[in-house]
Formats: sequence, C-alpha cells, structure tokens
Amino acid sequence: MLKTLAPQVTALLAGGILVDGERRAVRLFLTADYAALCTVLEHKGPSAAMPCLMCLSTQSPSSEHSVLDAKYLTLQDITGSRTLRSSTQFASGARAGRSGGSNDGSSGGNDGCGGGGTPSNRQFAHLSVVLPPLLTVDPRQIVVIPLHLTLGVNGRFLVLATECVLKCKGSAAGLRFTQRLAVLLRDEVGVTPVPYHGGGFIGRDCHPIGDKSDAICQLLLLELTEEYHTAYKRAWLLWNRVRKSLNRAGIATCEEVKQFRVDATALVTHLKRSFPWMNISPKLHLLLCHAADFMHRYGNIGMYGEQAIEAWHGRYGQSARKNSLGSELASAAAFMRAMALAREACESDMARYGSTRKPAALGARKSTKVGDKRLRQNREEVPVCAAKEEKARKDRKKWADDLHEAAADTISAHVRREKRARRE
Amino acid sequence: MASVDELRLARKRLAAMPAKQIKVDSAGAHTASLSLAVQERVSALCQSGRFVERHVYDEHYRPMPKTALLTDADASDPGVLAGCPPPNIKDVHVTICLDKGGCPSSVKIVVGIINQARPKNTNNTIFAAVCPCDKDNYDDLD
Repeated sequence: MLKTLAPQVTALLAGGILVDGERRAVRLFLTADYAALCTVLEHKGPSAAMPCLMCLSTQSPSSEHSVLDAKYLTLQDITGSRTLRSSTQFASGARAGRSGGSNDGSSGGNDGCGGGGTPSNRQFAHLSVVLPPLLTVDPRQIVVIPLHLTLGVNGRFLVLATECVLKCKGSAAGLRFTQRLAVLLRDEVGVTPVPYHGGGFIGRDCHPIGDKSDAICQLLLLELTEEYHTAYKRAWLLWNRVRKSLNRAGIATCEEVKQFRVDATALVTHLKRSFPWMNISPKLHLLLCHAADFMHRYGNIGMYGEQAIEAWHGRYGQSARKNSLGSELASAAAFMRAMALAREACESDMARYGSTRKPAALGARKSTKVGDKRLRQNREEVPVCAAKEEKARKDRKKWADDLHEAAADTISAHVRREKRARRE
Repeated sequence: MASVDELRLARKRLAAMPAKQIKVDSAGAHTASLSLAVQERVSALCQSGRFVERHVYDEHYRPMPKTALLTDADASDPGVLAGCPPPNIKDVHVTICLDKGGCPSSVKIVVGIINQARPKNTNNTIFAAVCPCDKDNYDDLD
C-alpha cells in the first residue's frame, strides 16, 4: 500500500506546496505505533539488537556486542549522549543485510565500517534493518509516539504496582491486589479495560488513572514496605508531570521544555534505580533520550502525535454500514470517495465550520458544590442488565489474572537472575 | 435552497475535481494525487487566514529564521527529498501516519497538516489510503 503511495510522497516533497504564491518545502514527519514505524522503515522491531529507530543504542549489555555497547551505549544506560542514525543509514543497512552482512560477515555499507567477522561488525553493517525503507525520513523527524508512550507507560505502572506487591508479600497477595485494583479502577476512576490495546485501557482513560493515582497508592499502603511505597508514589508524581506535557497540543515555552527534559530524565532514572528488575523498554528509551529533543526542536510533541489515525479507525467503522458494497475493497473505495468530497474546504466552509467557540475559563466545567449533578455519586443510576454486568465482571477478572501473570513472570525472572549473580 | 438535482450536479462537479480523484487497485484505494489533495487543503487554509506558521527551534529555543523559498535546484537536494529541508527554507509541516486496526480491520494512511489549529481533528486531516485486511480463517488455510 505504501509502496503505491511512495512515488506520490516523493512528488509532494520535490514539488513543494504553494502558500500565498510562495513555493515552500515539505517537512515530513512520520508517526504511527512502534510496529507500523518498524514496517515503514523495514526495521526488525523492538526486540532487535539495535531497537531504537532514531539512535544506534543496543538493547542491553551483551558480550557479543560489547564493542557497540561501549561505543553507542545501551537502552539500559541512563546517562551519556546517543549517536543518532542518519536517514541514509536505513538504506545502507538494508543493502548490507541483503548482501548477507547479517549472517556471513560480508561487508556492509556504513561509514566505511565493514561487516568483518565479529558479531559487532556484522551488527553494525546492517543496523537491524532488513530491507530499504518504504519512506526515507530523517530520524529526528520520527515522532516519539506520545499516545502509545502514554498507553505503554500507564499499563507498565499498573504492572509495576503488582510486581511490588509480589516482591513484598508473595503471589497470593499479588492476585488479591490485582482483583481489588480492577474494582478500584471501575468504581473510583470510572475506567474499564477494552479488548483491543492488548486488554489495556484506551488513551483517554490513561489520564483519569494518572489524575487519581493517589487512590492506587492508597490501595498499596498496606501491601508494600515504606521504601517501595514511597518510590512508587514518586514514580506516579513524575509520570503525571511528563504525561501532561507529552500530550499537550500547544507550543511549549522554554521553561516547559527544560522542565520536561528534567522530569523525563528523573522519571526513567528513578524507575531504574528504585525498581531494579525493571528494564528500559524502547518506549521508555524514547522518553528518556529523544522526547525532550523533539520537543525542543519543534516546540511540541502532542500536535505531531498519532491520535488522528486512531480516530480514523473509529470513523471508518462507523461509516462501514453506510458505504457497504459487494466487496471489502469496493466499500473501502466508497468510503475514500465520500471522505474526499467531505474534505471540500473552500473559504466559506472553513469560516462556517471552523472553531468559533472560546475555550471555557479554567475550572468552569468542574463541579463546585457537593450536590452537583455532574458528580458521579449524584447521578441517577442507569440500570444495567445482569448479562452485561456478568460479562464486565469476567473481563475484570481476566484483566486482573493477566496483570498478575505478567508481574509474576517478571519477578520470577528477576529472582532467577539475582540467584545466578550470587552463585557467580 | 438548491433543489436535489442541483445538489447532485454540484456533487458530480466536485467529484470530478483532480484533487478528489481516487484510484483503486489490488492493494487498496488511495488518492490519485497526494500533492493536489495537500495543496487543496493548504490553499483553503491560506484563503481563510487559518494557516499557522510552525517553526524549527535552535539550541537556545529561538525560532530559526526562514528566509528562502524552495527552488528547482533545491528540489533535487537529498535533504528536501527526505522531507528534511534546511531550516532557512520556508516549509509546511506534514505528517504521514500509517496504522492497522479498526473494525472492519484495515491499514489506513492519513496525512496531516500541522500548520493549522487542531491538526489532529479528523476533519482537518487527509485520508490518503485504505487497504482492507483479510484475516485468514482455518478453512482458508486448507
């Protein structure tokens, strides 16, 4: 699909755009979830030896790639400056990969560093890129996926709470905690997990969870030692600050950019130091090393994010019945035609449908009185049928079990690693 | 109020415009000319005075001055062709976004223009391509 569209993108870049009679260049940003970004850039994915799409950092310290670890650092390092990829490295890495640089040690094409015989040289030749990218984009213009970062970190924090309980009180207490957490999220925060997003929460739900993180910390009060409890509470505090800046659509001030950089670094450093079993995932690495740089360079992250495409999934689904034809492809084409016509944006339409409402004053939409009907407890209860309630209960139980299983896996692996380290 | 016939004719005229053309092939459906679709939107923004300048900031967080326009000589520059023109050239920030998902499942490509208010609103983005995804079921694999 993108192969068909790629020549059109190239034509757009070469031709530029006329703005008030001036021919301007196109600054192209690539945004999608991590998997789609890897597909577009033909990268091996987040489990590859060099998982970052923007820099040359390796996954974790290994004897096999010790030379690269020392030179370009690993994702697990929380200090030091990173070496950015160049846009041509994707293409040259792919050439090396295809010519066998990744397997037989033949030479690659990166900055005069040949494939050679050592694993580090072979890795450096292909840079975890399998094929030439479908689109050539400057790595500094790959957006740091604010929505998926929020989804990922939010989910990780809930698993982290369970891991802390497992570490302090054992498996049975962990399972009890996840069940109570599921009930708390439904009753106090008003969010429920959804079947997509891996059974996690939708992006909009991540914000009330963050805002009411005190309730989660309160639930943990009797389950954790003071050290873990304080550390977990601080992690939420830092994340809530980062989350708001990450998802804001306005241009940040110089102070906000500086504060964001400080908070993002403090968050990842705190997680790594306070919870030793926690690995820095590619998403956390994006937050630590590249998010602040992107914000500094373009003044904002949220505006460039991947929210639009997620909204289009919903719109496509809603219109599916209206544009239903003989085949899926015909229906898709009918939808495209309808959307192309809906895109008519002449001056008069823009003025009519453009934003004319002024934003509400700060706090104007919040309840101020105890009896305010906007408060959940003052609303009339809508009757829910028994079957729906039973399904929701089953979904919550499954979510709690999955959360416990994921946390138990991480903690048991950490315990095994600790034992092995002690033996050695 | 226009009659229904007139509205239909207007719709036909609109659908015949080059920027609205759709191509359908075995891969999926996509806009016939992305450049025209983007240009149409940018022109509408300019005419209605809703085009918002976006900047690239330097290390002191000051907007880099844009003084030059894109020329034919620049158009063959590798940086320009990679969507990363020099900071002194006047530019338009365009996002290209690809994702698989939704129900019915499909791969969608959406192009966004950042030089406007609310660039992530679906009404302000260009739906560039869609490719329905078929999931093989057990019987298909036999």
